[in-house]
Amino acid sequence: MSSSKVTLIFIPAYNEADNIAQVVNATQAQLPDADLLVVDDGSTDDTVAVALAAGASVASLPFNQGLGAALQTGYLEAKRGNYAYCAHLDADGQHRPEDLQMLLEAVKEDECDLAVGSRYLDQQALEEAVEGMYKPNLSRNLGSVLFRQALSAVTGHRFTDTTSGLRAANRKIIDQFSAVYAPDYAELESLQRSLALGLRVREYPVVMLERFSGKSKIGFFASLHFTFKSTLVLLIGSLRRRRDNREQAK
Amino acid sequence: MSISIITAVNTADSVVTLSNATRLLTVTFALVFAFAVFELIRRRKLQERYTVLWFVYALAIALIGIFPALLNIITDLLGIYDPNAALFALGFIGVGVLLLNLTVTVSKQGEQITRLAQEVALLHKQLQKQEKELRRDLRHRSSD
Repeated sequence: MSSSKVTLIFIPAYNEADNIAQVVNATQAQLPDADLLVVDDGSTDDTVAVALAAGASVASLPFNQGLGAALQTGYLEAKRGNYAYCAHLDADGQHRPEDLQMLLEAVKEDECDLAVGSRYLDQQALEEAVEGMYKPNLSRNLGSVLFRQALSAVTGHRFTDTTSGLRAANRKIIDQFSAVYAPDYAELESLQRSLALGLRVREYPVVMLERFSGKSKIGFFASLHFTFKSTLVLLIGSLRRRRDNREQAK
Repeated sequence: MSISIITAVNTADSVVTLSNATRLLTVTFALVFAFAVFELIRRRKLQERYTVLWFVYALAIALIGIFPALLNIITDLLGIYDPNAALFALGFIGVGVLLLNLTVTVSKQGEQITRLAQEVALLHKQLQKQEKELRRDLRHRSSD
């Protein structure tokens, strides 16, 4: 895995044959100096063939493992390949590669260890500037608000978009996430954990577009599971924090 | 449930005694159970590290067979009127602990499976890359 490049971009993909080529091409065009890896999460459609044809490297999980496991595969590759930086974006075309580049630059400038693209930061200014922007439905919006309030309360750190899949990270994060990353609904947990480890997490405003094609994969039971897990993560996180504080007080 | 083969008899002063036949049956069951676990280990159908709780389970059943008075003490401690109910409660609690233990094992294995899948994915990718390079090298050489 001798790569002279310092940055790895990875794209977790599950049954995104319709979108993946576009995303790969756009990302390569925006960041030609980075290595690009599509992590296929056991897709049953032509995602792998399409991604290979588009010129991406593809790491294919033998069976569907969940977004977190797919993301961790990317972090693992970044660690093994000795990349100094890595970044990932969704395979459905909701994220703009130029935003990814902006996040990467923030990490390279050492503004933070983990840069997260937030679709809610400076929402209004963005809405005016960009057409075709993603507008979450009410229930999704309410859930997002609740959890970001809770996470902010637990971590003492203000978050506006806790489920963002657009991120850039440096070596410190790569070391952590390649070792421990939850296989499902890991976004919230990974933020909480990074902060608990004393790493610097920062949000940057990004634009989220409507997905190129297909529907979101998050169904009713998945959102229930997400809610349950997130609550648990926050609870455990807050206990841990309290204990840490007590230890610091000593 | 297997423990229900023990029949507790309520005597006048509400002290439980088991008939000798029941006690024999209970101890025999515990021994057979322990032996079965032993056999499964010997035939490599069960890993030793997952059997601790099963031996504890067999031991608990044997103890009740040998010292039925234990059941009285437990029933009193739990504040349960009927020793039969206490038996069932203990049985359910025991099964719950065993299941939780199993879930812990499954979680650990899930983690290992995930890592295995990730390693396979990355190895496969590496293999494809090397194959491509090799093919390119061969083409270069043949065109020279």
